[in-house]
Amino acid sequence: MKHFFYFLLAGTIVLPVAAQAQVKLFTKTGTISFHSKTPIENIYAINNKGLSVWELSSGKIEFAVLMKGFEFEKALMQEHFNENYVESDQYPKATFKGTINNSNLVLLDADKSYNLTASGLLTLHGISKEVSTTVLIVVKNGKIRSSANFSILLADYKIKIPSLVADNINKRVDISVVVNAYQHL
Amino acid sequence: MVVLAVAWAYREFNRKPAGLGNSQPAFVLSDQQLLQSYEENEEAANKNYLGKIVQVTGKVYEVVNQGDSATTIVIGNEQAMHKVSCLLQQDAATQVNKISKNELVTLKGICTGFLMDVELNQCVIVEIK
Repeated sequence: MKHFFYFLLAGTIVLPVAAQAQVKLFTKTGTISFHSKTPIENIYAINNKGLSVWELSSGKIEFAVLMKGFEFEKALMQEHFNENYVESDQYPKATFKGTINNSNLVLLDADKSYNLTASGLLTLHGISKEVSTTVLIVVKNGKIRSSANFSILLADYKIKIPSLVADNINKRVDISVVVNAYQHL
Repeated sequence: MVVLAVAWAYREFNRKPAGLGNSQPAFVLSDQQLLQSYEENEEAANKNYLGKIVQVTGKVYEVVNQGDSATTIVIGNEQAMHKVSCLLQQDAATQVNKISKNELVTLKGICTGFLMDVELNQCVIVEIK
């Protein structure tokens, strides 16, 4: 009888995890934006076409974004960004490959928020660096939303800013990643 | 002279990204031709198309509204893994309600590269057939 009880208990724990073992989520409309703020100038750019695939059980997550897809308020900023800073003809994509820790705890059938951590390799301008951040995941009415903020040093990615405009661009750039609704793959 | 130079600098500094309304495309092709060149060799295709105005014609697979006036028209074959994803320029988004699935459309936009789909930005609708 005791063993049977344990058997039942084990079943209730294992089953919910096993049920989502194969769940893969994706989006083609992730929003990736960045912000550089200095007393002289605010620079903001947004890209609404981020691709992401996230395997819930293992927590493996990938993002890819096209550098030429970033839209700026001013044309000159966009041109400088593409031609001089990230050299998007040579390096058309930025990618992130990493892991969301405890991703297997996220249940898709209950309204709940999760504060998890993620880390992995961010590749930009041909250079890969480890980044880590916290990720807010909100499950509501079966919709899965995720958001994360982190910052990078331009020097880490060998992005050179000419001295003439060095005061206009912050050496540390804030990056925001938002997926409004992951879909099942 | 100085005044003119300052005026030019001011305009240049505040210049908005140009709309594609009257711009001539560098390439005119079908969605399948564009997809094929990316599927065959992404790097070579990028050399051709990246940053250029590309005009494509194909069947509408879906229209995606992301809110905040970001609207995408996806063209391509229903079963195909890769499609052509055209993010509309804001003022073109008003024309979208005229477009339905499987309709043949011609769009032009700036090619930004290849993820799951070939991506075109700042798209305007040239023709709905």
